[in-house]
Amino acid sequence: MRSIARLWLICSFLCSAFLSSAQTAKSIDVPGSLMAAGQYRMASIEYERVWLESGNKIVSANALLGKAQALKQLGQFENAEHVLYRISHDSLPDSLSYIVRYQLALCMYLQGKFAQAEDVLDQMYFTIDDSLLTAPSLMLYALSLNEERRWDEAKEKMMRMITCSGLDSAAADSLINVVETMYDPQNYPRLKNVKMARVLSMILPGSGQVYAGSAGQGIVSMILNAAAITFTVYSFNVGTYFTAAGSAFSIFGRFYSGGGRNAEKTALKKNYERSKVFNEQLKQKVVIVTKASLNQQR
Amino acid sequence: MLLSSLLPAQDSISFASDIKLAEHLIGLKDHEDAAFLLERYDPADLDRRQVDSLNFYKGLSYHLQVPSEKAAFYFDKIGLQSAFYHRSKYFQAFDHLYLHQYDSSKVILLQVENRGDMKLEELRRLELAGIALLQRDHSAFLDHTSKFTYAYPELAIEQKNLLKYDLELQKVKKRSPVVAGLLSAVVPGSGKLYAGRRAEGAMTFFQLALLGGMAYENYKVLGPKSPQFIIFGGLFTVFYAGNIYGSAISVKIKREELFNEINSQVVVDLQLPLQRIFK
Repeated sequence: MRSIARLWLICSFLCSAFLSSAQTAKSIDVPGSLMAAGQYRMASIEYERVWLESGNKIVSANALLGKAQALKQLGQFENAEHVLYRISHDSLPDSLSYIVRYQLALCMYLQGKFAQAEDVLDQMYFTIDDSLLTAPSLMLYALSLNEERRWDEAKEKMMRMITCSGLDSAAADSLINVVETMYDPQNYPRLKNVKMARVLSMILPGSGQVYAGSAGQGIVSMILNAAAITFTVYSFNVGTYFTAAGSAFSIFGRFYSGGGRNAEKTALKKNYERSKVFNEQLKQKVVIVTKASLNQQR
Repeated sequence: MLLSSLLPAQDSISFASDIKLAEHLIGLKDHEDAAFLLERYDPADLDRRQVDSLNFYKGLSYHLQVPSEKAAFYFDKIGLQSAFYHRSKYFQAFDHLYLHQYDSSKVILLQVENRGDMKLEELRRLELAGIALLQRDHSAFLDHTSKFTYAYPELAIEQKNLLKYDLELQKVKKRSPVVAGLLSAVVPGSGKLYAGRRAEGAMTFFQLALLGGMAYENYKVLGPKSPQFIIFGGLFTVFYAGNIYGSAISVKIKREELFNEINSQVVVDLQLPLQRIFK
């Protein structure tokens, strides 16, 4: 939740530009004032009134855009997404259509629907030819790809954003250098092979967890499995064959298969933690580069 | 300036505009926002017709979120002269029914004045039959269903469904928890089979057979004082006793599960015709 809030702040510089353009229409002054006063719920209702009473396509689109903005402020990203889907792009100017699609992708990103956010952006690049207009949205694309650990592709998007921003070569080169440093493969987090963790655990119980970075769990798993095997062998030696078979089947079987699944989970968790730390650092840098690119463009 | 826009406009034009907006929000399934919008009004500032509209749409906003006491409260305020009278009364009756307040629901349904509308009469019979089924009052159920005409497509499917549910209820076997417990004492897991939980019964049998076999083997080979026998014997005893208790309980649970499933279907079938008739 804290991470979402932070991201929300990070993205706000782009949103604020959209908001000011969305609120230019005179008919949405009332919800605009409510937004400024922090009355987001009432603002979202008033934006709906504007939509209901307006016969103008642009005003209607701006009203729904404003409503989505209010819902985002309330943390209702899914509802905001549904509102943005109601906007028809037929005969909307590219500049407005861009804002709507960007906001839609942002809502999806904020919900963790990264692949869907990328789909919306891809569709936007296909529909809107003006690369100068759509260039800032590549930042969102890069952020989504980061979350999916597709860092090389994210780097490519950041590079494209810089080249599409119409900067002079010195400024562009300087930003490109920053991106090259950010996405240096040597800095990528070392991820654990999830399959390997499981296989190792199957060969030597507990070793998968140790490989995945959880030595404590690995040792406990080893002890439990060793105890189960020892008991099975002991039972066999003292002539309680049924008990030996039963313990091998139930106790050892359970620890063995459970250990494999546990190793897999541990590796996934470790990968998530490492990526998260790396992506948090990247987020800040991506936004700084985008800001610099936009400022120099102006 | 801002404050004035936050306060409800008191003139009839802005009230009508708010009602239209609330209707629109309800259409968008933004029921909470519709209620939020209308809660700003003080009925003391409105005329009789406006108060009826206000109460109806407030009731509807809450009813569509989840049938509740609050929704029933607002529907209850709608008088006979209102255009919203029938919708309010049938929705109110459903709110009570949903809250398991079957007697209150019946009273409302019996008091509602259908003014000779035959479709509403048929709807009343359907709702009353449904309540009789939920109360397991078979004679009342037969009394209401015998008057079904099946003449209205908005109701016919649900009318037939109620008859089907009645048959299903009659088929639910009355199983004894004592028998289930005794069966499980003789053959572990069989009590759960008797209760209708086949997979659970088979699993219990397998687990207890394994534990029992291990305990027996250790008793025979290592003697009654061996730690292995004490551990496996103890585990077997605990699971064996637990299984007897669990089998007795599972008869009741299974029966309640079946009843709840049928009750849920009945409630859905009493709600759907309301949505169709009062669109």
